[in-house]
Amino acid sequence: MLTGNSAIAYGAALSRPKVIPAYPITPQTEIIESLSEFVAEGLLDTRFMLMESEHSVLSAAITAEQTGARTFTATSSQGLLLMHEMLYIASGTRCPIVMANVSRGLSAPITLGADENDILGQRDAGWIQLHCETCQEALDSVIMAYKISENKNVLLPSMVNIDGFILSFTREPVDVPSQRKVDDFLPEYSPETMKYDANVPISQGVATIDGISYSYFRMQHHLAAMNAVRIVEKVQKEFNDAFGRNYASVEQFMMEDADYALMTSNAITTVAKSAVRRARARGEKVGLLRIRLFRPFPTEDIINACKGLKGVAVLDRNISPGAGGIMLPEIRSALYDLKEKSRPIVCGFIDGLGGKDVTLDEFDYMISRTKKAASDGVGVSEIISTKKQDDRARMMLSEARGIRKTKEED
Amino acid sequence: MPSNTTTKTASANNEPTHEVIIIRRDYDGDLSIPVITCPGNSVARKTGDWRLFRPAMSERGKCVRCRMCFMFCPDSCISFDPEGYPVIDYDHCKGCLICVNECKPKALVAEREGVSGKK
Repeated sequence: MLTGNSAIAYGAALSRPKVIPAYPITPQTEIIESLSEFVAEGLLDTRFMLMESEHSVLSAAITAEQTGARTFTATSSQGLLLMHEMLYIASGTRCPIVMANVSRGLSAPITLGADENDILGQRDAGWIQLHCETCQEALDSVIMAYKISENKNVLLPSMVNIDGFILSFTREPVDVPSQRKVDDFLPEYSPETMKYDANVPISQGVATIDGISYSYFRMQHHLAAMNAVRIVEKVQKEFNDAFGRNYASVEQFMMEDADYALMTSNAITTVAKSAVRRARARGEKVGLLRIRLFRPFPTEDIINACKGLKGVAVLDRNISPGAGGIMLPEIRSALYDLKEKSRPIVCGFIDGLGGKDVTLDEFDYMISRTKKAASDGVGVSEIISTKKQDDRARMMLSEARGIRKTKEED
Repeated sequence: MPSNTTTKTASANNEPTHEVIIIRRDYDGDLSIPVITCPGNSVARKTGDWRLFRPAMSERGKCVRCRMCFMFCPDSCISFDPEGYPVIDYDHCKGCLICVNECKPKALVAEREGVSGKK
């Protein structure tokens, strides 16, 4: 039985990274603590470097990769944001770093609970993003991420995401593969170009100054990311062949004859699957789609999964103030060019911010509201909660502001 | 193989038309990594294009061939002719004027770019 953090630490250790720059932040600290314990006990041969901030962590990771060393690190929310400028440099210099992100709602106001704003907010940074539902998937995804990132038709860094607290500190049964099996699956990283060799001098991360050569490199970066769509599929298949666990970029659950689909990602999916089972027991033709690969965006998989459905209910555990959820427009855009009769009505529901629980009742509501929207022919976008949770919010706000209740409210 | 679609655009004022292409390229593999592996190619970038003022020899007679200009140039743009007088590489001189500042006899002076017809 391993926590999500432990599972990631094992996945990282098994991948034999040569360098681990680290900095603590709740809720990921257990990852780097576990790795430092492995090193102290002589189980992991790596250069473990405690840095002064996450910005320095990623700078160190980039330079380590540029010498040809496989590198791992982990962060969360504020730490991820602190590295923000370096994220673009890591992907622009084509460093195949693998970084675990343990998602946590962004300050301000401060929370420790999970939501997707931290990692989805980095969607334009040019990294590959894999989102995990289970601790097993987290361990497996770290190993797969190296194989994907280091592929010479990709050479892009990856983030492996798990929910803070919900998955990071929850114990689940995890099969830890043997080092030998992982070595067979994941060979040593030996880059052709980006390495430190005094006999072959090389300038890295050079300035292009003008827009013409800059545009070329950005375009190639995009092509590499597009290559990653099929490389991810290929590696997932190879992983299944080697370890017997199958992962799909867009997981389909009870979708065979579904008319409606819930769309979720990360650990809340487990709750959503219960909601789908309950709906099925009631005779409703509902299924679930889980987004595992978010960048590069699996457009074809989304289209194939959604075409012909009557409605899709997208859960956004994130919010872009002034616009709404982040996932909703990505899905709608992918489905826009479908012919009208095979294009589903897509509804967006914002819920679960900052670790707020998303209950079975809320999933039931999402399904029924989407059915109504489908029959009305118009999609909706709503922020939802249970009344109990909302009442509690109002009560806490009154306490914070010293507002006395009137006799009627008592 | 790269294949580009081209369209000629018409122009209202009979200006030269620009061909517009859609960029459709293959992934270039190793070439797509922004690194320089060919040593010594920085000489091809003409950093002298950035200059506002250039150092110029006002009077050869004033120059005492002390070589201080060469010592102080941060871009290694000063070399010497067979008689020992400074030769400035205007392709790479950025016009920082440190040499002018250090020239004790005031042989080197600052000239505004483009004034004397030099470019």
